[in-house]
Amino acid sequence: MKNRLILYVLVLVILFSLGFTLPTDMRSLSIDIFIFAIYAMAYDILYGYTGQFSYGQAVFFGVAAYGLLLPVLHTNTNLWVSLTIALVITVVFGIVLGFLAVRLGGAYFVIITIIFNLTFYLIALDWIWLTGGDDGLTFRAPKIEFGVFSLSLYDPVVTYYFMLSFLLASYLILKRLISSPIGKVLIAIRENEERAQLIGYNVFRYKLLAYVVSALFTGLSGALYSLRTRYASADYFNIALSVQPIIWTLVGGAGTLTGPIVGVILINPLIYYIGVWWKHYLSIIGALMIFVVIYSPKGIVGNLINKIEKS
Amino acid sequence: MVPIEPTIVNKIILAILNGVVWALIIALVALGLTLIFGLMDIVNIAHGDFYMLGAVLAWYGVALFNNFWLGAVMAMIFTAILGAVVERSIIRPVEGLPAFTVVVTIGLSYIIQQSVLATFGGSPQTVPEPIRLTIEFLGIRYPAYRLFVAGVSGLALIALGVFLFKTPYGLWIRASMQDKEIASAMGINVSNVYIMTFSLGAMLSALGGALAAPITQVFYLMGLDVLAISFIIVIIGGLGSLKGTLIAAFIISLLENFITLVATPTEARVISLLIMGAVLLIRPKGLFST
Amino acid sequence: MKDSEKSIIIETHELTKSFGGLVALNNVNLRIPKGELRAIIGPNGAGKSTLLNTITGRLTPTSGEIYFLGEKITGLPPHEIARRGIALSLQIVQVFPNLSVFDNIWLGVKMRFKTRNPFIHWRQLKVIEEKVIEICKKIGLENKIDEIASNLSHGDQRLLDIAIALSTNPKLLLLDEPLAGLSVKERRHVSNLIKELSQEKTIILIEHDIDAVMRLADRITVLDRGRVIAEGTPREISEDRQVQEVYIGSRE
Repeated sequence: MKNRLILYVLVLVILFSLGFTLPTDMRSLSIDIFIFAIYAMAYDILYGYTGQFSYGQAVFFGVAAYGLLLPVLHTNTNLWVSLTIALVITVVFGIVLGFLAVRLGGAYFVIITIIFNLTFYLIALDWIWLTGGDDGLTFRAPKIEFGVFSLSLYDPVVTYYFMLSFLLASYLILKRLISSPIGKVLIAIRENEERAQLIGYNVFRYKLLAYVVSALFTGLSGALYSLRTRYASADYFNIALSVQPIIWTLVGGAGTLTGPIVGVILINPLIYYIGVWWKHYLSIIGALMIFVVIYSPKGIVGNLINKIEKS
Repeated sequence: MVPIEPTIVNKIILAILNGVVWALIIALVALGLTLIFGLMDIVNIAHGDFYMLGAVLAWYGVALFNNFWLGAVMAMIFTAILGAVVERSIIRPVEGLPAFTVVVTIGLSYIIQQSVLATFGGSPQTVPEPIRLTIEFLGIRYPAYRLFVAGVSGLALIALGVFLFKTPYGLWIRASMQDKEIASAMGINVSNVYIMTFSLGAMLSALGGALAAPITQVFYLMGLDVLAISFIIVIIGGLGSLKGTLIAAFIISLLENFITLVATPTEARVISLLIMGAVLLIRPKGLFST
Repeated sequence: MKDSEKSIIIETHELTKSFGGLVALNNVNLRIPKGELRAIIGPNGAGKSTLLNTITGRLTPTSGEIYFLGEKITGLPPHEIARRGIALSLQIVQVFPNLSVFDNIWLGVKMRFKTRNPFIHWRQLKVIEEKVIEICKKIGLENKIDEIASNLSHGDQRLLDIAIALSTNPKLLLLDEPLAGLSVKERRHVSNLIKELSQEKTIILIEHDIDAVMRLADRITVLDRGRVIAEGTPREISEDRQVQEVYIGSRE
C-alpha cells in the first residue's frame, strides 16, 4: 500500500517535470501518448473488463473529433462548450449503436461494430460538405479559459499539461468505476454472463453502460486529438484506428487499466520510428498481433510481470 | 439504328440486372464467410482480402500473360492453398477463442494488404472485360461479360450446393456445423473438415474478386467494402445460415442498386445499415434463423 | 383453504415446453408450499432440468403459467425472476472462474443491497463483506475465501455454486443434481448442508441419488417424458407401482 503510494507520487513527479524538460519531438510524442492512453483505457473498460470485443471504436473517436471541430468552426463556440457538445453527441451515438450491438454479444457484437465503423468511414469520405472528406477540415483551436485566465493551445508546453490533466482525471474516474460495485459486476459479466444474470443482474444494462462509458472516453480522446491537431478528416473514422486499442490492450494486458497505457507507450513510438524508415510497417503490426495472441495471450507486459514474479 | 434514350424503365431494368450480378458475386463471398463462421465460430476479417487477392491475381493474369482466365484460376488455386496454410498455422492455435481469432485475422489482413501494396502498388487499376460484347435487349445495351459473370457465379453456387448437400465431404461439413463432438464421434476428421472449409471459403471469395475485377477497380483496400456488405448480409440473413445469406444477398444487392437510381451509393449503404438495424430489433438472430 | 393458498410459494399451471416436435414438459401442474423440500425425480430426458430452466426464465414455456408467491412470472427475463427470490444452482457448475471465492459470493450478496452512490469503493460496503464471510462459514468454505474459483476442487466448486445461489438470500432454491460427481465424503457434506438449508428455505431438488432423495425430501414428484406421473411422500412414491415400472425399469 505504502509502496504503491510512493510509486504514484514518483510517476506524477516525473510526468510533471517532463513537461518542460523534454525536447520538442519527444514532448510531441508524449502528448499523443496521453491522448491515446485515454482511448486505451476506454477500450479496456469495454473489452478487458466486460469482455466485449469491439472492432469499431474509431466511430466514437471520429464523431467526437467532428463534434468538437464543427461547433468551433461554424459558430466559434469556446473550448468548454465545444468539448461538452462533442461528448454529449458521442454519448448519444454510444447509446443508439450500443442498443443494437450489445444485445446479441459474441460474434454478432464484433461484426456489428465493424459494420458501423466501415459505414461511418464511408459516410465521412462521402459527405464532404460536412466532414471535408479525405482532405478534412482545419480550425483555430479556441483558448483555454478559466474565468479571467486564458491559455493558448498553440503553446506545446500548455498542451502537454492540458492533455496530461485530462489523462489523470480520466484515470481517476475509470479507476473508481472499476473499484465500485459496478466494476465488479462488469468483471462478473466477463467471467460468466449467464451466472451474473441468474443471480439477478440485468446483464444487458451493464454491458450497455460499459459500452457507453467506453464511447464517452474514446470520444474524449478523439475530441482532444482534433484539438491537438486542429484538424479532422475522414481518416479519424479509419478502421485502422479501431485496431490500435486492440493492439495496446493485447500488448499491455487486458483488464488492468494501466496495462493498455503501457501498450500505448511501447507501441506508439515503435510505430512512429518504424514508420519513418519502412512504409509497410503495418505488416509488422499484423505479425505482432498474430504473435501476441498465439504466444503471449495475457499480454507481453502481463507475461513479463508474471515471469519476474516467479523468478 | 435508333439511338437509345434511357427511360425510367430502362434504368430499372439495368438496376435489376446489375443487382442480380452483384448479388451473385457477393453471395459467393458471403457464403464463404458464413460457412467458416457456422463451422468454426470464426469471424474472418481477412475474408475481404481474399476477395481482393482474387481481383489482384486476375489483374496479374492479364498483365503478365494477357490471359484473364488464367489469372482467375491462379487466384482460386493460390487462395485455396493460402487458406489451408493460414488455417493450420495461425488459426488452429487460437481455435475456440473467438476474440483471438478476430485479432489473428486482422493481423493476417494487414499482412495481405501490405504485401499487395508493396508489389501491386497503391493506385487503383482496371482490368479490361475479357468478353467485349454488348447485348441489346429490352431497350438497353448490357455487357455480355456481366451476364457471363452471373452465369459463372450461379454455376459456382450450384456447385457449392451440390458439394454441400450431395457429397460425403459436404455431409461432413454440415454434420460438423451441427455438432462437432458427435461428428468426431462418428469418425469424421473434424480437423480436416476445418482446413477444407476455410480453404473453400477463401477460394469462393477469391473467385468473387476475380470475376468482379473487370467490373470494378482493383485496389489493395477494395476488400473492406466487400467485407462490410458481406457482414450486413450475413447479419440480416442470420449468422451461419446458408439459405438466409443467399436470400439476403439478393435483397440487399437489388435494394442498393435501386436506391442508387435516386441517391448516392453511400446513401444506399446507409439505408442497408438501417435495414440491418431494424432486423436486429425485430429478429435479432436474422431473418432466416431457426 | 385460504390459508393453504397463501402458503403456496410456487405453482405451475399446465406448463408445457416443446422443442420443435419434442415435448419436454407436458401440462405440468406443481404446487409447492412454503418450507417444503420437494424432490423431482425421473429418468434421463424426463424434463427435470427443463422444468427448472423454465421456472428461472432461461427458457420460455410454450404454454401454461408459473406463479411465484401468487404473482405470475411467466415470460419474465431471468434477472427479474432472480430478483424476486428464486436462485438456481446448475447441474454444470457455474461460478465466476477467475474471481476469488469472496468475490463470487460478494456479487450475490450485493444484489440484496441498493447503494445510493454507484461510485462508492466496494471496500466501503462493510455489511456486504460480513454477509459474505457468514455465508462462507455456513457453507464450509471459510478457509478458501481468497482462493480463485477455478483452482478449487470440483466438490468445492459445487459448494461455491450453492453459496452463490444462497448469497442472494432467495426464498426458493433450485438445486440441479448437487451431488453429481462428488466423492462419498463430499456427498455427505453437501446433503447435510441441504438438510440444514431446508430448515429455512423452500427447496426444489433434482437428484439421481435415490437414497439421498428419500432421506431429504418432504415430498417427491416423479416426471416421465414431460408428464407428472406421481406425487407423494417418499414412502408413497417408493410403493407406487407405476413409478417402479417407469423409473426403475429405465435405470437398467
